[in-house]
Amino acid sequence: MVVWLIESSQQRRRLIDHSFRPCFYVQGPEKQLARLAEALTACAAVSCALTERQNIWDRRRLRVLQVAVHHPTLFAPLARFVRRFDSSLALYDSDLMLATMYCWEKNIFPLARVEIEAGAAGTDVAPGFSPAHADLKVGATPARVGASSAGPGPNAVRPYITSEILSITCRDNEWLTEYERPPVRTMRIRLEGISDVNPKHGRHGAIEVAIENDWQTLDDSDEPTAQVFERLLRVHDPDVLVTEWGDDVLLPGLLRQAQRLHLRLPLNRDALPVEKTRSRSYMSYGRILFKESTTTLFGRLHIDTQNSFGADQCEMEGLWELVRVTKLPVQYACRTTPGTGISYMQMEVAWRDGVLIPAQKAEPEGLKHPDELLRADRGGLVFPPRLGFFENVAELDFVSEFPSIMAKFNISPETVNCPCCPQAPRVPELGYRVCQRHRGITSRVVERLIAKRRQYKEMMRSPESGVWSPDSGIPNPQARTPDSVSRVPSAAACKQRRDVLKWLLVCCFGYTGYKNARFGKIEAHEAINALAREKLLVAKEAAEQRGFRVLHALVDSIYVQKAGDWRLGAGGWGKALPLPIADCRLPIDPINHRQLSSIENRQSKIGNCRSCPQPLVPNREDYERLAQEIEQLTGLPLALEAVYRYAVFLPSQQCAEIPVPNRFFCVSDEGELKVRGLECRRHDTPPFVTRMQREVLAILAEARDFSTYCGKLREAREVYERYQERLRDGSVAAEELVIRKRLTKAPGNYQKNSSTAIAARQLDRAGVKLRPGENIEFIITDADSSLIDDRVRAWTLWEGWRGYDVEAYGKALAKAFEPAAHFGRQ
Amino acid sequence: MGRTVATFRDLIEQELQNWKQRFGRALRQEEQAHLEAMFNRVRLYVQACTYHFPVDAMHGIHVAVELDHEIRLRRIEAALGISLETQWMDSRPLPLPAGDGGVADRVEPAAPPTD
Repeated sequence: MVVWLIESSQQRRRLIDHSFRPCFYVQGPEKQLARLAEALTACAAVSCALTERQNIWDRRRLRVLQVAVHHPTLFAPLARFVRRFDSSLALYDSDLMLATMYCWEKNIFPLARVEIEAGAAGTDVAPGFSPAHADLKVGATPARVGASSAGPGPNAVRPYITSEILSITCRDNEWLTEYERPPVRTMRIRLEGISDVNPKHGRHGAIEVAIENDWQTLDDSDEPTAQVFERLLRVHDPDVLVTEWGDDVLLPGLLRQAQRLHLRLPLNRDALPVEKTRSRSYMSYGRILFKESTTTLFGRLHIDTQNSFGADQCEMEGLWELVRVTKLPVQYACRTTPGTGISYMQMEVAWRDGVLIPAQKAEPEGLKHPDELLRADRGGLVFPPRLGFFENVAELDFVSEFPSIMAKFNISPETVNCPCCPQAPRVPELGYRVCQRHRGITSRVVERLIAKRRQYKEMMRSPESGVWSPDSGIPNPQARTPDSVSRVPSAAACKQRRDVLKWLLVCCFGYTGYKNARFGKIEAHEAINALAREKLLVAKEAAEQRGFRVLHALVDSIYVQKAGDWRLGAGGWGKALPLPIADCRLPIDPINHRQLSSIENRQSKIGNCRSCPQPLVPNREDYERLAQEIEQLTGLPLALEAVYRYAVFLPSQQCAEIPVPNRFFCVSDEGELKVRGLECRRHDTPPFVTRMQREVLAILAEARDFSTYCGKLREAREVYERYQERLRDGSVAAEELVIRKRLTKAPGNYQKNSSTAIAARQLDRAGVKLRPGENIEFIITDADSSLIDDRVRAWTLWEGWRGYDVEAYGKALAKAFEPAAHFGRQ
Repeated sequence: MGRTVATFRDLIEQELQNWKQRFGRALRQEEQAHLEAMFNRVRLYVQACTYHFPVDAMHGIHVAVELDHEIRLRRIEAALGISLETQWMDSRPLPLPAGDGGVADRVEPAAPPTD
């Protein structure tokens, strides 16, 4: 295993650990295992021994053959050999990532601060390493930050001395919230122009490179780009390359040019070739998605922000946090989903418990009666919202509800319907039992993540996080001792780290229902959903009993309104009928406190409940008390997410009287907007329309109640009219009108002439190879043209002389303004 | 990930399409829109249907439609300031259907019986 280290003196060092012998396990008849052991020892350097390990599902101790592989590169081939030897043998731990296994074994993690005892410095890095090293990525890059900030001198040559690791000790803890970030040198590479447009679709400018935010443009005018880039790499020797489209376009392009020039481009710090994987299209949640090919490096980290979940969603701070807790190699972690990260965290717990990790999941869903299936196969509860404009609305959120359920109720694949607890309490609705004797693997993983996420939340609220950040260069006032390595992260850093932990937690729940997840079991997924439904109903009932009106509820959050003494009859169902007027769905005039006649109703459509005798006064304490009471009743943490001055719940676009769960906007007491399901949140809305809607909403966010809202709406309409005017006079820049859509099939397979199909065919004709799941960009030129090709134009093929379709974009503006005006009166 | 059983929202749509095919075909044009509107209003109570999840989706749809009618009836009472519960013994004839509308027009009642 090769480990790259940044020493305190800022020197980069390459280390090899020959002591690492990863093990996998084989289960089967003992005679067959003995034969296998013989065969294995005859063909490779392995140590075989019979041992006992635990089965995850029934906790039985199984007698298995442990195969310790002396050369890690032979790990996967030997596992394949076993499968070919006898396909009836069960393999365990045989397809785990070696770098992560190394971390588990040595109790380290990527980017950890470590202490290493190394042998004498060996040879310089040179080509011709044994294959043992060729297959292994930079598994861990333990970092130790020194005080020195001296950069490398010009034309510095860095021979990387390779030493052998005698011992490695972790001086860090992945569960710390205050830690030193890796002291890496970063080089940023991108293309001129719009960064979101795939350069393979035909439009890209020169390469831009930045070291410490000092951008310089490389073009082929003076000397070839690859040559300049090679010099920059040699001089600055970055640890991290952060690129846009680096995986599929930039780095392969630079390598090709370097090859033509007979130039050695030292992208790897090793002398090994750069590793590439192929692109692919795949389905996820009913959508077809596209994954670009990847280009990963040895001795250096390459992060492509256009091909990275972590770096895209949570930025670098989140990525560092992700690799610390999951122990996945950085380059792998940033290109995979958080689901893989959470799986590896579960596998680590299992591995440390001596539990066998099946190579392929062999735990099918249990047989169910159709009635049971109907009862069990349901998700969280979603209440359609009351439509209208509502003042003084509070949002109460269960904090990490599903993970909290897993932690609190010990829901884990191996604890649901376990064989050891026949008398265990039952899950509501379903009657599943949950183990009372053993703590579940998933529960243990999520409780640590929840705790760390909560710590970050508290740190965000603490005043220190606002005034000091590791970027500031000011000594940390919170440092406890002179040699303390802890650093208080800034509030922004805390947020990024919290976000990545949130993604891990979300995926942890999702993976319990994923058929291929090794720690997945659909019954666990169903039990969590059943408990979530139960808790949401308890919260709804508690709110209603205390005189609150539930306007909307979405799986783990409820929107309630404090409305005087409003309630559904003091005695509950049946007693207080006919329903009080406030419960009627007929809109209520918010100004005159009376129900509107049907004619007025059609004119205004205002749905606020204002029939209460007392004027509505926002009272945060009431809501906080309610949150506490619900928390006590449900046993799950519940937070008052926000008190909104007003919330506007909008109907379906197809049917004006039918509410949809995810189309609303609210303005908090502090004036912050929360928008769901509107055009500005969609990826396929042109930037021009998004900007208009955001401006309009920002104006409306200044309103405090319905009457000021109506006043602000006049102001907002002026903005809208200005945008329409700009559209009509043709002064809108083309890039403002770009619409982005995801291809659902290959260009030739589209049957109808939708805008996406036309643009895809244009690109296809231009020689662009498009795959399902890729995004393409286009501009509507003349939506009603009889010539199909004139209706839209692919953005990367755009010529300046083409005009845009004023009517089509005008309609898009009107559609985006409609939510603001829907319940307003001018 | 992925569900075996359709969501109740999907079931409402499936049932609507099912009923539109034959039942809806035999309705007059002006009545057809009301059939769709009736099914659409079931979505207002979809969370209750989801929670109860009857084996036959139409059972849930029936209860939701009837509940919706009940609520709207109460609402009309409230708007008119009357209570039909006290008037159910009224022996006046029901209004006759008239016109082409999908819903029968209400005929103004004649003068109350004098006897």
